[in-house]
Amino acid sequence: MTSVLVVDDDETIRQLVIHRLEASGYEVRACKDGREAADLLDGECKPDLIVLDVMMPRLNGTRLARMVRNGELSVRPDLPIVMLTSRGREEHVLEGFEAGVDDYISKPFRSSELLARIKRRIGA
Amino acid sequence: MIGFVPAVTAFGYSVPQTVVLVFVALVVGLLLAVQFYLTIGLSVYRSVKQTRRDRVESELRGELLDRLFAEDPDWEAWVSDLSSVERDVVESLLDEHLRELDGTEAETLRGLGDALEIPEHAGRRLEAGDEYERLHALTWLTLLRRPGPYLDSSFEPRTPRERASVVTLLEQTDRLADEETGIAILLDGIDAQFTVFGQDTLYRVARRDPAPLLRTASEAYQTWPEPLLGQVLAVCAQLETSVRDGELAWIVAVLETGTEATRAAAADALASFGWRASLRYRSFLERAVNDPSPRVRNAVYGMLASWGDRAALDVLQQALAEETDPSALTAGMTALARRQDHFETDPGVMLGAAWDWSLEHVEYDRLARRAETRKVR
Repeated sequence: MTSVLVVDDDETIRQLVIHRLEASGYEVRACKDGREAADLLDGECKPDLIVLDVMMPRLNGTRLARMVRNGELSVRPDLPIVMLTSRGREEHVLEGFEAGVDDYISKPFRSSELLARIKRRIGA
Repeated sequence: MIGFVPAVTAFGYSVPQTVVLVFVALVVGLLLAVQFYLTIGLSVYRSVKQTRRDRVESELRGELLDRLFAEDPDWEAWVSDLSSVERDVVESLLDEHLRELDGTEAETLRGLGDALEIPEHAGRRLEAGDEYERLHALTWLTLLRRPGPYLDSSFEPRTPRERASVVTLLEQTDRLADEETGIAILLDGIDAQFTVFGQDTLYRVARRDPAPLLRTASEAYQTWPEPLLGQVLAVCAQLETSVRDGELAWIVAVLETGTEATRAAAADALASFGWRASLRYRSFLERAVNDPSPRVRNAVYGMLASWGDRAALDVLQQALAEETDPSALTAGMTALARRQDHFETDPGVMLGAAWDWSLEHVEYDRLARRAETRKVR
């Protein structure tokens, strides 16, 4: 089963994305911040895609994306990453692309759009 | 020997001081005991309430999401079966999700707000509630995109927070007739400053068309409290758009006659309208750079450097040669150094070592920024 790691410190977003992805047949794991996700990715967790928030405590999304791309974690460096950014913070999009994310979606968002973007990256 | 017993005398009665002290101690003790039991009682009540909410929240969240993505959410049927605690939790969940979702999903979710009769409650709160309840009601109407209860009510916003909330509601629901109306709601008869949210609302409206803001400010700025005038000037400083000549006369007047803070804010505002020739008559510029406050001179130097034309830079260069305040001198030099390409003759001849230091500082700053960009990549 295709698996997705959702990393967001906002409980509402996390639950919403988990619900939507599980209903679409994905296996989903979730983390509350970048540090927890980094530890997980450095261990046994090998997701097919990461949905990543930008602003999080301990370790932010841009830094985590860079760690993945630089091969600092034990996952493949080209792991697809879709970033969740806040509307009005376009500088985060640029930083995200510079850090190597594949796609982004602005909050508030449509979960169907997020799903479509994930499907485009890794299929259903 | 009989000892002396001090007494307190009042209204013709004499009571031993010991009795008074014991009485006071008893009253204080009683009040402390009441406070203790009230605190414990309130804590227990809140804890029980929170536990009941936590117990149902996860299940209700799941049900809400299931229905949100179902063919027919049938919110009315769901809501009719909810207890008051559950309704309360669903309201909180609705609030959270409306802030995160967009498009058709948010619109579907707004149906839940209708099923919970939130617009009706909001309408009643607007008519009868206190300011907090009215703001709460306006926030809900904005989240639900339901301006009807506000439009049907006799409520008129009075405080800066209410004014900003009403404009946001009308703006978000495409019911704001024009920018003139928005500015009128925000500023007509106002006598206090905005919150950050209010100032941002003012900026959003003025950015689309600055003329109503500048016209209103021109007519009323003398009646505004200083903090509000500072906020309006700060908004003007961010507009960076073309406006007619006459509408800026009030900013020039503030720069010449306002308080220290508003004079500095006026210079910042004028910096964004610098292209117009009518602002650049030499006597005005010379008065501005001779302001007694270093803070204002600092802002004026920034304004002149931002304009960047020959006349403005000449006045700036002359003023810096005579500047005695170190912070104003540093800021002015740095601003001027950023315009170094505009000089045919070396300003260092007139400005001395401070100019060389500022040039070096600007160059170092530029290199550091480039290095930072490369590091990010």
